[in-house]
Amino acid sequence: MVVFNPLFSDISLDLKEIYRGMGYGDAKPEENIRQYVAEMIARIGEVCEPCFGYEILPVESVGTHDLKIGGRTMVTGSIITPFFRKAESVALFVATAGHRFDEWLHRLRSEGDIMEEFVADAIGSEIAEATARKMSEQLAADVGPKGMKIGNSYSPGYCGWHVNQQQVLFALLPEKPCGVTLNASSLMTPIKSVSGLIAVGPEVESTPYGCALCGRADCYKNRLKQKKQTES
Amino acid sequence: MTDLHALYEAILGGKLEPAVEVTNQAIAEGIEPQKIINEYMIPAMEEIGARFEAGQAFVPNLLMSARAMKGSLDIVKPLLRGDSTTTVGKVVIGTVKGDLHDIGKNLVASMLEGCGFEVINLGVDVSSDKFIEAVKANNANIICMSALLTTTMNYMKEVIAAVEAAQLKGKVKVMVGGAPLTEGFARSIGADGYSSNANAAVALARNLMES
Repeated sequence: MVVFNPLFSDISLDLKEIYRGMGYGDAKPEENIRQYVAEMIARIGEVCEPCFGYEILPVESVGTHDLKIGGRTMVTGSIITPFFRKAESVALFVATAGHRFDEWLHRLRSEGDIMEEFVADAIGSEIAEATARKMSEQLAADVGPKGMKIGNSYSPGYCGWHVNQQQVLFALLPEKPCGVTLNASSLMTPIKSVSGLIAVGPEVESTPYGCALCGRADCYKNRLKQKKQTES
Repeated sequence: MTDLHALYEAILGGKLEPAVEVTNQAIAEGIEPQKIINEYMIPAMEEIGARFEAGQAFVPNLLMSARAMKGSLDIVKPLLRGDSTTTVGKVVIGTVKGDLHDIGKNLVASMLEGCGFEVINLGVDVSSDKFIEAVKANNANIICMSALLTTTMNYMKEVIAAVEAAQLKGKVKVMVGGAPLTEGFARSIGADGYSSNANAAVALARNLMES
């Protein structure tokens, strides 16, 4: 597995995503809230050590609902699987805001200021996503010279890809990739982590990815979309 | 003479220090704590809640108001000791077993506390046994459960079964929430109520206390 430890300053946080995570949707927070978020990001910069890594494995077969990789069958579901049809190989990845941030977040929680906790949590989620984006950039740069392109990143727990398939994904990676572990419910620790797959191949395309892919009524992203449509 | 409208404005605007300052002044002047709560604090929280429901305020506004409210309540609560209105009700809250997501649950806990409930926060990955123990130990009125995953939300049914097995059904109400949940799911598992956000959770908890 190739592992990278980018500087926090090299992770491009998307403020709009942080505000969205705080419940603002597309609205712009008041100046005092924006200032609060900026100060919190600066504090987090002192304690956050992001990490990402990936392992590229050949695709052995692609079914209607699953992929065979490294001798194991990963049930990716009918929505996600078609995006791997043109893949020669896949990058199995992990990206995390890291243990130090996780411990800091726990300390913050124990201090009991819900506003601090809430904002730090939203920033932490975006750090994990931004680290995953950084990983995609690195992967594209690594495989590009070999004539390969990469697809979108997909994660267990979304679009009908059951979260328990994390166990298969992690079984194909070295133990504790980037220090990330799974519990019995297939949740990761540190909690601000992202894992998943990216298709790699000369014919692979990166397509606009969003909730248009799937209409699951029990997905919170679809709920937010529906709420927005109802309000507009 | 203290301008208690400033307390209303401080809570509405989520300003902790002015809220505490005005409350202290009001108490020093001998104003009835119950009057401070009923005529200024609660209306301020109701107003921020209404603005939130109307899309005119956001979660951070709710949180800051709840924080200001709690700061003021902490001052007046000891003066209410012995009064039946000291606490609106006792809530045992937790994220169910297998799930580690706690921010949504903590938002609800904070709002409930800000609105006068006593909250026993059990944290994350909470088993049915822990819920039942906490209800018995605290003589709680409500169990409030949260889950973020479709895989873990089904555990709520086990907790409700444990409530029945412990012969607590009817004595303690069960409310549930979390991103993948729906009203229909809540009904299907036998919960007494469902809420989709922290503000609605407070209204639901109040209703459950009255039912």
